Amino acid sequence: MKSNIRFVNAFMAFYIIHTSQIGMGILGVPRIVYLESKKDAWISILLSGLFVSLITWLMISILKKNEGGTLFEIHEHIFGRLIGSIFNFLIVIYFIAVHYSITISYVELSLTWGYEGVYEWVWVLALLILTIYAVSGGFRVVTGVCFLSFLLTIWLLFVVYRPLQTINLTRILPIMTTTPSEIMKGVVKSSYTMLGFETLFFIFPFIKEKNKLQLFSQIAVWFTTILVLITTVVSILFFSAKELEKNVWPVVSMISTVHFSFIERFEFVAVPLWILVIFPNLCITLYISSMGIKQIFHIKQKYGIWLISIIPFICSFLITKRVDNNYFFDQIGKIGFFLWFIYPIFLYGITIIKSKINTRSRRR
Amino acid sequence: MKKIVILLCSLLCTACMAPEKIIEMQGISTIIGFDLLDDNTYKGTISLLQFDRNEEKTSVTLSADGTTNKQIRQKLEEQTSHDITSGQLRTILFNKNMAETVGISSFLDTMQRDSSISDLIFLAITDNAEETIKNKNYEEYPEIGSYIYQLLDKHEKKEMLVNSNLHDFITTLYEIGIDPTLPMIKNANGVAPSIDGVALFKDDKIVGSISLINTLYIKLFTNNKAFLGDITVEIAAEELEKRGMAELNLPKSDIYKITLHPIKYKGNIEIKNEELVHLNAMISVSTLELQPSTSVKNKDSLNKMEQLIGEALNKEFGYILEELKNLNTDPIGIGRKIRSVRKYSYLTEEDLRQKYSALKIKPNIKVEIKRTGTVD
Repeated sequence: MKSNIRFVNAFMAFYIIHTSQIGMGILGVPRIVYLESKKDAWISILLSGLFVSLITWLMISILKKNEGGTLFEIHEHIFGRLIGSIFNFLIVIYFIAVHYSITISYVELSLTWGYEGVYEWVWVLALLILTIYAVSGGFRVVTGVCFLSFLLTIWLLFVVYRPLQTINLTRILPIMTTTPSEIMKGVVKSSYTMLGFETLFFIFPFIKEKNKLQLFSQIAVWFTTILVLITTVVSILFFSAKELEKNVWPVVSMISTVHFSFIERFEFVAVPLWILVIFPNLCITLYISSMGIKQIFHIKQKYGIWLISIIPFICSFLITKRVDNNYFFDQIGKIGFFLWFIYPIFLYGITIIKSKINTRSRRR
Repeated sequence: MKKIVILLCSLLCTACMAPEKIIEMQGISTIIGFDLLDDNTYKGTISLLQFDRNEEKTSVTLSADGTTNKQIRQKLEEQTSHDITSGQLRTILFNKNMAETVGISSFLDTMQRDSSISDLIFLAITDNAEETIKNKNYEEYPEIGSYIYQLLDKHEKKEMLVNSNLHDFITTLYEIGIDPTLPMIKNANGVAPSIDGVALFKDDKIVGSISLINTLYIKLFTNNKAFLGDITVEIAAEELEKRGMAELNLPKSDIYKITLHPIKYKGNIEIKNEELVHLNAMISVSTLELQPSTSVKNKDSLNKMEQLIGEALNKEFGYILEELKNLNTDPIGIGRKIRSVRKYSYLTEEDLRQKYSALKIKPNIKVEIKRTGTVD
């Protein structure tokens, strides 16, 4: 029996899943989806949310059928040590790439809004050291980071009241003018923002009440969907079509119309504050990839953390241009879509076949 | 180990930033104006706020020529020891002539791109931006930028200006089926600059203007929370007699003048079909002034009065709509509304422009007199 200190309550899954979904993606998602599915971008988001909810249900079924390990353990269990390790290694690479994409997109944002001229690696190093420090504390610290980040940033939602005063309802009308294929393209494009629910595959062994997990993870993914939906709808109503297609971070531009008598430019508060939003993302991706390294090479997780952290640091000298970054995020979004929207369906099939074979062989 | 990490974090997170901005070193620009010199060169004029207490002057104006906005700024930097910042930039003025011939959208790119420029900055049109900024006759404000900002801000909040900040302008400029408007600032010798009408745009070029009071008809349909400003209507006495209001014992006069204060309003663009659009609006008003003094007590005559006022407004609105159609500019956003109907959502900007001049627009403003002040 593992000691109790490793476990967290089931409702913590809400914070973990939600905070790892919300990150840099939400700042740009209205534009990215709008480019594909135009006025019906919000339908794409809703469909995407529905899809995520189904996949979440599927994931939990897979995990329960496999007697609750992480995805890394499941891979080894299903495909054997060698092939499983190759799979795991690919997933570790994916998470490192996600980690870097979050870091660099935040760095890019902060360089645009106020810190122009600072070297990218300085930011990346600062974020990395902070992340390493948090992740070294173990899973419970990572959970704590998620919880605190949620509480400290959720109030930003109320900032939306200001853009609401200058919206125009005719901009979203008429609904359903785009073709279904365009809407589906929008769903694929929204994947970069909606991703994060795959964390479920890796936190499962740490959850205390496993039967409550379904409920809390569903609440988490729907809460995220609603947040993304609100930002998308408000952005569509707030900006005219051409303007929305031009803005890299429509949400930040929207926040820039918020002003109080004591803070004239609220976006200069919101952008540094966003570090709290991405911090859980960074912690979780680093934690998961180091867990993978531990599983593959059987080395201590501590070394894994340091080893992995070197990679984003090196990347920060290579991939820094806006155009490159855009391509990079796009690719990660695509890979993520296949890996976490499509792959779990296959995995579910394989698990069922495997368990049938097992029961048959047991009968013999 | 832990302590070293914390130390490293705190060093990294605090020290590695661009150098601090010291207020005495800053030249805070509050207003910038652009004039056209010839085909490709523009003249930019800025007003800088001075923070040095030893200086008597509170502001400095500088101008420079250049081909792009930021090049002008570079040249302006050469003329001052201060570091010019645009974080407090509140107003951008454009030369009217320039806005009529070359358009102003090329200037807006940098305003959008530069994150230090707020989205809430005002845009305005003036005959000669340089002269307006060099005008010394502003009131008690420290410099011209603050004065013009207050002038525009007050008018947007309290009076009859259609929203005119950068965000509103760009949004309406880029949107299909609505054209932007900007306030015009008049600059005369020896007096402070003042607001003088609203410029109407077609795309990014000025095609005409309407008076400040008449913007109320635009605001009725574009903004549902604006202040409309007071409405003055003149009604001929014979018109009153025709309606059978003579028995009211009204004081003898040829013309009746009524000033109304709008309390609430609701405007709605109703698309009847491709050729016919109804502009319905309902304004609740309180009467501010009646010349000659009249009291309307009975309900029937009040209804008739409301009808008369409504008709007078509709008549005037009709003229304005006719003018807007002649100029082929659509500040009300009728085109946008047409496009939001499923049947017509395929229409492009050119289609809408063509349709607009042939469109039948029927104004239908109703007035409801809710309050009459302390007397009736």
